[in-house]
Amino acid sequence: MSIATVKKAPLKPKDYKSDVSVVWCPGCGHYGILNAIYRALSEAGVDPSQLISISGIGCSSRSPYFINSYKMHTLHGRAGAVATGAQLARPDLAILVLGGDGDGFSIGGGHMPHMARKNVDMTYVLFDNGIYGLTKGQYSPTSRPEMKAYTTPYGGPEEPMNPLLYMLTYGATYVAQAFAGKPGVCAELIKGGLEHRGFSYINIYSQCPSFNKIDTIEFYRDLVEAVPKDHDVTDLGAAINLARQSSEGRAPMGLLYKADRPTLDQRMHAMVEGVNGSPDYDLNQIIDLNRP
Amino acid sequence: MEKKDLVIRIAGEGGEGVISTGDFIAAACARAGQEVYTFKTFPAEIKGGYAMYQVRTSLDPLFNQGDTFDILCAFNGEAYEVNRHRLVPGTAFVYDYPAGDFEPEIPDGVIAYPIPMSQTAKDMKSYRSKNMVALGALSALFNINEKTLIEVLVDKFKSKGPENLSFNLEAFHKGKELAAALDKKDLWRVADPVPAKDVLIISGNDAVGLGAILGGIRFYSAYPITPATEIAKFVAVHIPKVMGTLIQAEDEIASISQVLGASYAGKRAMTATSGPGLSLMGEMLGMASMSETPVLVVDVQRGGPGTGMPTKHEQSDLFLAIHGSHGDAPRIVMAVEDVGDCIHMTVEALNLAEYYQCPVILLSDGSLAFSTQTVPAPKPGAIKIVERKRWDGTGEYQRYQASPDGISPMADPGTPQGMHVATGLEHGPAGAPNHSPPNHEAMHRKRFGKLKTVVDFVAPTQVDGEGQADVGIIAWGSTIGVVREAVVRLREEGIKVKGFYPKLMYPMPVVHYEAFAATCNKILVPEVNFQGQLSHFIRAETSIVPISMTICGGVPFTPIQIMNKVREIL
Amino acid sequence: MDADLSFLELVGLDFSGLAMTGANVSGSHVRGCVFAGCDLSGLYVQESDLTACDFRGSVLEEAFFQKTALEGSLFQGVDLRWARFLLCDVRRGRFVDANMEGVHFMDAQLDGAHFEGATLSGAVLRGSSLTGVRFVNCDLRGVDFRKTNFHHADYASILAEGALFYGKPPWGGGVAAGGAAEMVIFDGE
Ligand SMILES: Cc1ncc(C[n+]2csc(CCOP(=O)(O)OP(=O)(O)O)c2C)c(N)n1
Ligand code: SF4
Ligand SMILES: [Mg+2]
Repeated sequence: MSIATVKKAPLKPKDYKSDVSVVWCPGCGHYGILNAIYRALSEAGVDPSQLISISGIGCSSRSPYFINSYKMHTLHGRAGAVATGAQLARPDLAILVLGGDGDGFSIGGGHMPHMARKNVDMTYVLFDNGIYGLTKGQYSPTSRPEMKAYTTPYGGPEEPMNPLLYMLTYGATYVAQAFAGKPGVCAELIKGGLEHRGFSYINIYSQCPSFNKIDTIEFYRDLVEAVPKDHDVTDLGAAINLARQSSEGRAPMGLLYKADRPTLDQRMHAMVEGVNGSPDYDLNQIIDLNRP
Repeated sequence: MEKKDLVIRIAGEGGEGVISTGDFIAAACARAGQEVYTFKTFPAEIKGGYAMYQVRTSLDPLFNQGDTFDILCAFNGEAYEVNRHRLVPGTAFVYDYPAGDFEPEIPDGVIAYPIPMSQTAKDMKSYRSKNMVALGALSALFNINEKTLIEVLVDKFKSKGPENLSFNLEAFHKGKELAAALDKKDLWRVADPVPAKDVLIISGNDAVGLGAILGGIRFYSAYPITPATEIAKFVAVHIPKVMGTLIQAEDEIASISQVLGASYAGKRAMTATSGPGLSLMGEMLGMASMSETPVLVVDVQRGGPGTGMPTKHEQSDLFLAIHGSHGDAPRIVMAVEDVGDCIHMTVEALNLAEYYQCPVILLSDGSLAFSTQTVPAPKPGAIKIVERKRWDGTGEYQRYQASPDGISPMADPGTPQGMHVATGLEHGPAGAPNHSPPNHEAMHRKRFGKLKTVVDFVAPTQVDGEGQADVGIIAWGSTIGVVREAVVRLREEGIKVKGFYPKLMYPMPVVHYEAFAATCNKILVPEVNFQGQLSHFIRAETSIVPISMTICGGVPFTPIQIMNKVREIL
Repeated sequence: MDADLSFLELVGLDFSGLAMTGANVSGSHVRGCVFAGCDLSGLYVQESDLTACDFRGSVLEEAFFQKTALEGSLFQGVDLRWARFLLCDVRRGRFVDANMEGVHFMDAQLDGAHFEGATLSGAVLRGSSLTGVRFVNCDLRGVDFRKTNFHHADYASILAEGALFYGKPPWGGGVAAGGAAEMVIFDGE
C-alpha cells in the first residue's frame, strides 16, 4: 500500500472499531492482536475508507468485521488471493489481510509463496495459535507434536512448519514476529508493515485457551526473545539464522527482515506505461489487427 | 441442390505449415469478399503429429464447418491414411508425389493431383517452403484468388525481410506452375472475387479476448488450460493499453479469488478456463453469489470428466455451470453459438455480471476456440457498456438493503462513508452475519428474485421458422450452427422443421421454450455430451418431453447427422 | 503512553497520577496497587493478577481486561465506558456511581459486587455470575443479561427498558421480546 498515497486521518484507535461486537472466547489472544491493529491503524493514520481488510475463515478471520474499513470476509484459505486481486485493482488503497495459521498455511498454502514472491503490496497479519480454533481444536501446520487434540488423541504425527523461514525463503520483503501478550510490539510491527511498500508478513503468536492447552500465554512469553539490537534487518542471512532459532525453542520477536524490491503493481504499471496505456486508447487499433 | 460453398482440408505433420497454409487461404478468401468458417485440430503431441485445417468458404453466410471436405490436400502419408475413408467420388485430392513418403491408392471417381511438394522444396534447398508449393498448387487448381493471396503473403512475410518474402513467393509460383501443367478434371472452384466486406477474421478464443477488451475489462486473472489459454494471450497483449492488468495466478482458485477481489475493488474483472478450472472455482462462485459480487468466467468446454479429452470438442459443462457450487447459488449462464457471439456475448456477459451483481458463466467450446470465422467488424462506438449500480453517497449506506428489483447499490472502496463488508456468511441488510430462518429466506428471495428480469435484458430466444412444424429442434452452443444448416436443407426436402436457439441457458427462458414447443409435434435436442444435459434441464423446468440426441466422440455434429435423425423420428 | 508493564512483579506499588494510556499489563502480578488519578484509557490487561487494586479517580475508558483477577478492586466513580472484562474475576468489586456505559463483562464472576448508582446502559453481562450483586439505583437500560443468573441480584429503583434476557425479569413485568435475534452470532464458519 501505499500508505504514502492513502489519505491520512487523525483518528484514535477506537475510531477503527466497527459496531459489530467482538465474539471470541474470553482469554483468546486474538483480542490483543485486534487491539494492536486498531493502534497501528491509528498511528499510521489510515483513513478507514482507504483501507480494505480481507480475511478467510477462522476465529481470527472474523477480525475484519470488527474493523471500521472496507472489508471482505471470504472463503477458508483464499484471503490472500482475493487481496491480490483487490490490490492490483486499486493499488492506491491500503490492504490488510488477517487470518489464522490453518487458513494461511494449510488450506491457503498454495497462495502464500506467490504473494511473497510477487511482492504484492499488502500487510498480512497471521494469528498463529497453533490450532484450528473455529472448528474446535484440530492440529494445524504450526502445532507442536506434543499437542493432543481433536484428531491427534495420541499427539501429533508431524513436525510444525516455520512461518518466518518460509516467508524469508519465498521473498517476502518485510518479515516480523510478535506475540499477542505484547500488543504494543504487535502494533509497532503492524504499523511498520502498513508503511512498508511491498509484501509485509507479521506472524503473531496468540494463545487459544479453549483448545490449545499447551501453547499458553506463559509458554509464548518464555518462547519469544527480542531480536538483538544490532541485528541488521537488511541482511537476509542473519534474518534466516534468527528465524531458524524457532525450532530450537527460542522465537525471535521484532522485525527480522526488510527489503526494497519493486512491487507487483509497480511492475504492472510499468507495462501500462510501456505501451502508452490510456483510458482513451482507440479500440479500433486493436480491432484492425484482426482484419484478414 | 447446387452447392455454393467449398470445403478445403489441408492435413499433414504439425510444424510443416499446415496451419499457416489454412490461415493464408482463409484470409485470401475473406479479402476476396467471401465468408469463411474454419476448423482445425492440433496434434495432441506438443511438437509434430497430425494437424488438420479445414477452410469452408462461400459468398453466403456460413454456420458450421460442413459435413465433409470437397478437396483434400495431404502433406504426408499419415494425412492420407487418416482421411482416406472420406475420399468419396467427386473429391479432389492433392498430395505430395512423387518423392513424398507415400503412394496412395486413388479410389474410383476421386480426382487426383500429385504435386511434388517435398521434392520442389528440396530442390530449393528449403524444407520450409513445402507448404508454399502446396499453396501455389491449390490456388491454381481451385481459383483461390491469386491477387489477394499474394497480398496476404506479402503482409505476412514483409517483416521478415525481402529475401524471405521473395523466396516464399518463388515457391508459391513453382507450385502454381506444377499445378497448371496438370489437367483440371473436377468442378471445384472458389467463386470469383467480389468487393470485400468490413470483416474480421478471428478465432473464438481471440474473439472472447476482443470482447473482453471492448466490454471494458480492467482486470483479468489467468491460469493456462487447453483449450482456453489463447484468450489470456490476447488479453495480455492488449489490456495494458487500456490501463488494465492481466496476472497469471497460481491456480484457478486463485484466479477466481483475484477476480472477486478486483471486482469488489470496483473494476470489471474476468477469467477464462475450461471444465477442470471451473470445477475448482465452484466454492468461490458461491461466494460471489452470496456476496453479490460481479464476476465473469468464460468456460471453453472440453471433453471430460477428469482430465478427459483436453483438445476435443464437447458441450458437457452445462450441469456444472448452472449448479456447480454448494447451496442455492444463483448465477447467469450463457452459451455462444459462433465466433461473432464470442465478441458480443462477452461484452453482454460483463454487462450482466455488473448489472445483476452475480457470477456469469459464458460457455464456449473446443471447436469454436480454434475456429476462425469472418465476422462483421465491431464498432466500438456502438458497444453498450452497462455499469454496476453505485451508491450515490446520500443517507446511511447498507450494502444489502432490500430494493424492489433486488439489486442494491455497491460502493467502491475509497468512497467516504461507504464502508461495508462483502461476506460469504449469510447476512442482514448491513452485512452483519444473520442466520435467522426468515432472513435466510428473504435473502434467497433477493438473490434469486433479481434474476427474474435477465430474460428481458438479453435478446429474445431466436426461433427459426414459422407456423406449425413436425419437428422442432432445440440446440445450444456451436451445435446451433449445424442445426441452422440442417433446417434449411430439410426444408428444401419439404420437411416441416423449426429451430429454437437459446443463448441464455440459466435462468431458463421457460416461456419461450413452452411457446416454441406448442408449435411443434416433436422436440429434438441434439447436444455433444453423454447425458443429454440440456434435455435434463428442459424436463426439469418445462412441460416439454424432448427426444434427446447425444454424441460424444470429441467432434461436433455435422448437418447430415441431424438431418438423418429428423427423418428417422418424423 | 503505551508503557509495557507485562510479565513483571509489581505488587503493592503506587502509580498515582501517571498517564498510562494504552499500557500493557499482561501476565504481571499487580496485587494491591494504587492507580489514583491515572489515565488508564485503552489499558490492556491479559492474565494478570490485579486483586484488590484501587482505581478510584482514574479513567479506564475502553480498557481491556481478560482472564484477570480483580477481586475486591475499587472502581467507585471511575469512567469505565466501553471497557471490557472478559472472563475476569471481579467478585466483590466496587463500582458505585461509576460510568459504565457499554461495558462488557462477558463470562465474568461478579458475585457480591456493588454497582449502586452506576450507569450501565448498553452493557453486556452475558454469561456472568451475579449472585448477590447490588444494582440498586442503576441505569440498566439495554443491558444484556442473557445467560446470567440475574435472578439472584438486587434491583431496587432501577431503569431497565430494553434490557435483554430470557423469561421474566426479577424486577417484575413480562417476558422480554426477541432477545436472541439481536445477537450477532457467528457459528462455526
Ligand atoms: C473449504 C472449507 N473447509 C473447511 C472449513 C472449516 N474451517 C473453518 S475455520 C477452519 C480452521 C481455522 O483455523 P485457523 O485458520 O488457524 O484460525 P483460528 O480459528 O485458529 O483463528 C476450518 C477447517 C471451511 N470453512 N471451509
Ligand atoms: S476457539 Fe480459540 S482461537 Fe477461537 S476464539 Fe476461542 S480461544 Fe480464540
Ligand atoms: Mg489457528
